[in-house]
Amino acid sequence: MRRRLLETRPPAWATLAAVVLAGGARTLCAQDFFEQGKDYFKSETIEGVSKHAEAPTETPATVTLVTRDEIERYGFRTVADVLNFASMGNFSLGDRRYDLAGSRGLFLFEDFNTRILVMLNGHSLNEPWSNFADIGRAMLVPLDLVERIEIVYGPSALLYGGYSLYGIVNVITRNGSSMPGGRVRLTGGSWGTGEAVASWGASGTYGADPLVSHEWNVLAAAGYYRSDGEDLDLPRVDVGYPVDLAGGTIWGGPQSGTDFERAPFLFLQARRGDFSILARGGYRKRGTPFAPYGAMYGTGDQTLRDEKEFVELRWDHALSAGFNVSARAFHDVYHYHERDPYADAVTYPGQPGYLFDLRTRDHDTGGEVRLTYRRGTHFLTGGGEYRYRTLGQESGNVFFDGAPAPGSGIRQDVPGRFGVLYAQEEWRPLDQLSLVVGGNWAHTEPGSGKAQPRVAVVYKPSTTLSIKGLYGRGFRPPSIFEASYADYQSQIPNPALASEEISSSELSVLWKASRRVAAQAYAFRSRLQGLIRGVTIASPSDVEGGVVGPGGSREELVGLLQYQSAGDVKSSGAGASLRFQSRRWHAYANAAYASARLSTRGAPAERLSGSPRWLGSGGVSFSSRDWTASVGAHYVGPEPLDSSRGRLGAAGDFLEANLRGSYRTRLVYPVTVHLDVLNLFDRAGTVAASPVYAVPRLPIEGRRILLGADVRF
Amino acid sequence: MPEMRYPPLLLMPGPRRVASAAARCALALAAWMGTSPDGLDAASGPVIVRMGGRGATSTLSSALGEKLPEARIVELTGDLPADTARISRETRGVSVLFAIGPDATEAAGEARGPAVVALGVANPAQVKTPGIYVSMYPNLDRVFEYVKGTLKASRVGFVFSPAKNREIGLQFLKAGSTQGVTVVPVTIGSSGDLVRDIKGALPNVDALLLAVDPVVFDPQSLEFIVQEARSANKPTVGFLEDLARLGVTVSLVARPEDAAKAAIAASAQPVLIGKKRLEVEGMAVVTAKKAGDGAAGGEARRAQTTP
Repeated sequence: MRRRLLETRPPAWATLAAVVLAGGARTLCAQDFFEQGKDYFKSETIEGVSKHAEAPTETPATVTLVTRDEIERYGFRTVADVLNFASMGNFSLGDRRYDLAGSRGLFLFEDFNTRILVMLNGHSLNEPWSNFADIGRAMLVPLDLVERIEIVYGPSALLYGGYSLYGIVNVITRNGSSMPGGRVRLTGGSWGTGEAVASWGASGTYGADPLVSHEWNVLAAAGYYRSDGEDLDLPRVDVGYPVDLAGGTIWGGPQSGTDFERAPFLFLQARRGDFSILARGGYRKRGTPFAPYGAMYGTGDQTLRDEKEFVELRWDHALSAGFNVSARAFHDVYHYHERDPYADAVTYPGQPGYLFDLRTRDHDTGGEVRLTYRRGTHFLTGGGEYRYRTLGQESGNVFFDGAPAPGSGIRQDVPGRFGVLYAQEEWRPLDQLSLVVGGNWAHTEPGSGKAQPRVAVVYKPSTTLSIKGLYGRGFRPPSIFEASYADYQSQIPNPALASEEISSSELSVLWKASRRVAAQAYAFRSRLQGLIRGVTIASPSDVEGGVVGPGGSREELVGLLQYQSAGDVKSSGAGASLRFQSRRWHAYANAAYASARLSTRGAPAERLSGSPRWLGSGGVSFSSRDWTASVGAHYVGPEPLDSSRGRLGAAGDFLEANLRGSYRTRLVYPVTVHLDVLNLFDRAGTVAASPVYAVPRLPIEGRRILLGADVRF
Repeated sequence: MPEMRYPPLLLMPGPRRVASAAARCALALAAWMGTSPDGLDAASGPVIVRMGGRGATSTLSSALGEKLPEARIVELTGDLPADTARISRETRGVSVLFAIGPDATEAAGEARGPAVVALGVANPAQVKTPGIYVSMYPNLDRVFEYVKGTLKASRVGFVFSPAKNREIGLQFLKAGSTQGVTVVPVTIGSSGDLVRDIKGALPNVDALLLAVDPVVFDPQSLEFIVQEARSANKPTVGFLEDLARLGVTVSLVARPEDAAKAAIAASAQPVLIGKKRLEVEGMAVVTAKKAGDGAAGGEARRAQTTP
């Protein structure tokens, strides 16, 4: 009997296979159902490269979109993470002050992201003092609140006026509709790291007509991030200047508590009908353990504080079908505070040293009006933006007992202006062809008037393949700091400083091979002219802008720094990306090569320091019911060291990997637990250091373990 | 030198030259906008526009296609500017088009071409396009007759997201009161609302009606609702056929062929200004084959009520 039963039963493997297949089929069927949601409701739309909703296959630029799902899968914490781990040619170099972005061969020391346009829902975050926009913690928007990040490669500032020499990073936040209810995330881990983010969102509609709805939504969030930072033991180097109050000149050795970071923030986004408001505020304060600018080593007194607030009011209204108007008004505030301790017993006899104290207070007020008109195969966008900027900067030396050092205080108040008029026509004469032509005219102070064209041809031989030919120009006006800052001790102004200009030609291909697989590739050439750099005045004839010293002569300016148009950069390269997504698996791979050569007056062309030619990144993620495991990694190729250090080797050439595991459960309310291991293999990579550092290489952060829980209620 | 009787406009001096140049530009722009090859490949006859590669709305498209064999199906890409341009080209000379799904309906509205008959739109209030909207729900009177007669329910909870389906909720409230069924709104704005409001509502209602809503398209939310309703011994009623396979007690479905028939009939009297909601008379009743099947188990069984 037993034998007969065994004979009639199917083999165990067949039973297992049948169960798996049946379960798989059922799950697949269920999955198909759950994907139907988007069919019955209008897609969420955003405004990207062209300030209106459009698909990546249509947009006149090469773009990478990082979605909410990818942010959660791989545990990206900042935009800098996204650029390093998910972009196709952008990267971020962290020097424990800021995360500094580079793109496709272009990277300049002490650039402070002035050549990349960073936006929050289309609102520029580049402040007026030095055009600085942070992409790390000082951005003051945790990625919890982010719906997706658009990375646009190359100059695409036609509708924004300028600043996007490297490209655009547009961070699209979530709203009360996509992030409903209360939510709290708590994270803690290595190096005294702790983070709490709380948010509340709600949405709905109003109106009496059952066939016409008016939407409202609100999302408010607050949070606090803290970290004591890594304990460091840097190689000892005799730098030849005092780095401690005892007069020692040995830079390096153990230090603790100097790499700290604190960052509270507040965020509000609300909409009712055509009106919306976006506001953000907070500050980031951190220590600078690598002691730039010849400061004392390992004291913890060298700090940066970036405080930022902005509010933007917006009105989007449909005047008639296909004819829309958008208007916005905004006010941005940026306060910067830097303290650098110096062991200097010479400048002020009787004092062991002093603190250099720099404070700036920037205000940026402006508005924009934009019209879009759609008729048949044409789509016209036109508008203008104006900003009025004021900058107040104060600097001086302070003794360690808090008393101001005599004769060291400097105060400057400088206004600036920025205006742009733009127009763009998108014409789609055939299903397979789109032509985009546009131009703008911008006027800036400091700087001058500039016109920038854009031409793009998008050819789509099939619905899954898009081939783009792109040409664009962009510019960056000199910042108020570059043109106006003057202490006549280290730096002089340059009223004649002109804008930088870039022109770029690009061929880009996007292929959606199937519902699960997409590939993208580009090749480009660009030329950046009139690169603004700090130049040390070697002779009186080097001084530009008719500047003279306090004594009325140019001779006294020799040895000081002046920002001048001092070089051209030619770059070219290519990149490729492959993405795969199935029900359980998600994987991507990016690779990029770019070469950039800098030509300066009377000097042979040379590779840009700090800029890696090769970049690669990739990730794999697997989900099974309530579990998700992901590994993301990025490779940074060799980075030439700063040329002033005599080309002694290279930095970079390291691979960094992050691991994330998540478990989703329900403890009355849904709870997701995350475990993150950053720099999984604890690789001791280095990045090239700018000339303001005593050493040519700076170490990347070591392994950090974080455990967090996200509760929705 | 021969006399130049009609000098070129651009050589004319002063303000006249400027005016003439502006006039030339305006003329050129008007010609450009007016004579671009819109509709070069267009043809007359019914046109169905839908998003390409989407499965859920393809049944509606097929049903329409069966009843309108001469119809051309225009598949859209999801890019609004490109889709609008395509609809403009493809519908030249066409008086009515059938748009399936909200994105296609939105693009059809932006194209400002033919009158629109929309299908597969969960909540017409959230789409600006004027036209006739064939409801995704069966005739609500029939729904409440079924709820009252077969399920013996006199008090039901209607589960929906206020941000997506407030207007639909109001329609159910109104239709329920007409039929003598008390409809209790169960608004789900967040994961927390789901836990609180479902548990709070179940003891006070005889059944739960699940709107075509993002809530039912979230696997965890749907599983939670089904489990809680089962624990409370209360039936759940959905309005999409597949829901019966996923543990919902019964699905009351507006059949695609009935929706297509209603849409074709409505296209004879199109609406160009404002919106009109059109109910589908026929209703299919879909239940799980076996009682007590799991959330993802069982085959669905369909019955049809007489229109």
